Amino acid sequence: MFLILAATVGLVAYLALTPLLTLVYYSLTDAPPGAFGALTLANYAKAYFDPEFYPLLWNTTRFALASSALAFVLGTYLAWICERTNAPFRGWVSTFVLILFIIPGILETVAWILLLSPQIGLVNLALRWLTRDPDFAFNVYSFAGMVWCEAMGLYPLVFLLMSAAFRSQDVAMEEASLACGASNFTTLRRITLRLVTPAMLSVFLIVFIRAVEAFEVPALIGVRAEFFVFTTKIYSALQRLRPQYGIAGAYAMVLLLISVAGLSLYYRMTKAAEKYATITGKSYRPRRVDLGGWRYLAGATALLITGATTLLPVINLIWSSLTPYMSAPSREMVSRLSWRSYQQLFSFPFAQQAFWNSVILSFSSATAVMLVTSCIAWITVKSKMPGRLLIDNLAFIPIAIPGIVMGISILVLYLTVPIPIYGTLWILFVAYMTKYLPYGIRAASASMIQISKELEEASVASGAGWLQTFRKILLPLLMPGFVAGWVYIAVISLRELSTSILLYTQDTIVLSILVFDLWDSGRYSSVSALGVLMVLFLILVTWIARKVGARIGSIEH
Amino acid sequence: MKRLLVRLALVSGWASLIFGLFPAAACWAAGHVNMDAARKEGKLTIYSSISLDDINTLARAFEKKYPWIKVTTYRAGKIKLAQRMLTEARAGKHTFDVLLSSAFTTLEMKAQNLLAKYQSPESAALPRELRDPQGFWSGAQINTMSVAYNTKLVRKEDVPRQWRDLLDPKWRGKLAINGNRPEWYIGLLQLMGEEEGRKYMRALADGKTIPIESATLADELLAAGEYPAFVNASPANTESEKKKGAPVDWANIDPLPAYPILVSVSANANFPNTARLMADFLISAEGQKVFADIPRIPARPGIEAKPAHLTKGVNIFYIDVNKMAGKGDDLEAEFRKTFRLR
Repeated sequence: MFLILAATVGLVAYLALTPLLTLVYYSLTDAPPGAFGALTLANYAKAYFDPEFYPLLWNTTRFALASSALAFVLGTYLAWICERTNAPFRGWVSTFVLILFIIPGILETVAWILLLSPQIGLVNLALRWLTRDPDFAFNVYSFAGMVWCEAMGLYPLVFLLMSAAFRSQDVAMEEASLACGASNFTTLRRITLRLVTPAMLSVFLIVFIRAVEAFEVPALIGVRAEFFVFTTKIYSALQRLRPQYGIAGAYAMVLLLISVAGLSLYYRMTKAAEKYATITGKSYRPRRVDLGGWRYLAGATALLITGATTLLPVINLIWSSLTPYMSAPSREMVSRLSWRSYQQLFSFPFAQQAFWNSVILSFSSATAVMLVTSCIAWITVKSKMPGRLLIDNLAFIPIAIPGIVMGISILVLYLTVPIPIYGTLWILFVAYMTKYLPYGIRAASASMIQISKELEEASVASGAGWLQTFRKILLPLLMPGFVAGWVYIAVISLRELSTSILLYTQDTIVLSILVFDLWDSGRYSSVSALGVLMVLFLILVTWIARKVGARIGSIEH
Repeated sequence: MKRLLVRLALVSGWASLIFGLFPAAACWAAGHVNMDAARKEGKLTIYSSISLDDINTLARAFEKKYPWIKVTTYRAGKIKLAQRMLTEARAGKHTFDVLLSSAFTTLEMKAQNLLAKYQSPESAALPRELRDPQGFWSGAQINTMSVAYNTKLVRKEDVPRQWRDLLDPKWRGKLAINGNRPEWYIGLLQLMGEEEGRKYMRALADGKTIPIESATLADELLAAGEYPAFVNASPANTESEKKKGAPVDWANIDPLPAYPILVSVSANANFPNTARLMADFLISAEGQKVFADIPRIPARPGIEAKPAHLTKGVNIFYIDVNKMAGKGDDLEAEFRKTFRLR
């Protein structure tokens, strides 16, 4: 037991400390990567005495709070409907939501521009026609437009993690509440949501940090809305032939601070961990709430939300993949529809190789991250090991490290130490594992906290070893959170670009490089076609993951 | 100037004819390439900032000519490309043999002493502006920059002929600008003189230009009719959109600034002979035709671009690459700031 735990702790520390120490070192020196320089605080002075910085930080805060709040409300509402009520169309909703995940960020943002631009936005054109008001417009190039687009990219994550939390919830307390005469709504507010506090906090923290780090929406929409965020400072420090890693590092400390402060808050609010344990020795059965006549309204709103937020961009994507250039649907364009971009895609050099490399990396890194973080979650939630919160922090901080810094630190490390993984898929695997530890640890901890200690104790009392208990009791009970985290990591790793592009070679090319390359060389239809194929692939994978997850979960119960 | 070009073209035409007839003479002319050594090397790695598909096409054409050489490619944007090469070099790992990239990256690599001097015999056929006097690079291909417009939104008589025409109030709020093509800013500053150029840029930016963070998005939104014109477009891209039926065209402004894609050989090449052979091939008439077919505008006069009017009847102003040395980052930052891209 100690051997396994020590190994995972060691691994996490190794993975997380590499980029962290690099970042801290850069921020304190004037030397370029791979070289040594004198220590200095000049980077911090330059970064934080810059009068432009504070208004930008304020913008970031507004933007991140608004978009994560919107994503949070939407995602939690949909998760509750799908997991805990008897509303119709639930199955549809849970499939649709995930689609938004896999669409490459750039395409999703472009899709919203095409839908909501005041000049050519299809939604605006339709609404103008309906309202007969020629000036009617939702303006995507505005604060609200940016918040909307960002929230659309984030709420599937909320949905996924909250669904897992709701799924592992015991219904006994809710029944007690209903028996005492509380209404459905009161029960939801005072029992159901209170019990998933750890999951809600975890999810909000991740989504908030992701919004702070957002890139595509501020770049493609923010620039036109003249709304700038502080990550543009990091970007412009790095987007130079002689990147100012020191300045970028100094700015990235803000992200680090938010992460660490957010985690401390989380611990403080979930201190009495046993309080949230609803999976106990008694048989637990998450049961659905009967909404009565309200269920149609609930089902309809859920379907409307997912329909508007998923189907619109997806239809847009399909349309773009079939047309030769960007255009609004018209009779003339319908006559020009063709499969050409799909054909071009299949004949594209490296396409097959990129696909297989991406699949291998996505499955292996998702599995490895979830296994490792499940162990770490056990340490932080169940054990009394000293320094356990430090380990949790370590696993979480890679979220604060800019992609290019992560890439450079890994590049430098494996070019210098005699571990021969440079130029192989292993180096990408190491990068992905590091990058996705934060998501794994939050998903795993939020699930671990729901499992009561008495189950383990019973297992150990019956003579099982720790490993056996972990494998046969904890892992199956963790399954909803495990699968949610796994699916999320597997999917977003297909989109990882900023680190991969520094580490790939001709033989280890991945899909995201292809997306970037097609986009960058102006092949909008082909990128859209690739996006459509990725959506189809995602639907297949989540379907399999759910089947497998459900089977493991049900057999072992 | 024109006469000089014609003469050069004639000379190179003769040269290729002679070398074509006598393969042995071609070997001799390559001068620095030791063919026996090249045969032993048998491979090379090319790092590039042009798209995967294009670099792959060039690599396969080269392999077709020299079936005993295996080419490996890597592609990244100019910044990450530079970071990868520098980091590798600092760790003493030498992977690339040939670099084919925009001037920004090439000049930085030259400044870091990562490039070798290699004056390809083929480079004699290139315009003076596309040859490095010190011999660290040669131009392999050029990218012109011009105003692209939506033919449904701009009348023929309104199409700009001079860069100054864009300052007309009728363009106010109608011009998109791509923040990822600083070469345009640098080119016009060289053309107009720094002071005049900056004044012009500020006046243009005051006319409420529409900042866009990506060339692709700027091209596509132009086709979709989001705005009537796009000031730093690439005519080659506009032509390919036009070919697909998009309602777009580009203005033949006098003159059009052009920046080159440069080819260089690594100072630490593992396979120096095949590397030189690749550099020769890329700027040879044969290699230049591959560029033209991609389609990219070839650097070598006499090899026609596709379509030909990309260069025919166009007054091209070549950016003086060496004047950019060490100033790329600052000029790019200035460009982005002027046009509110940060």
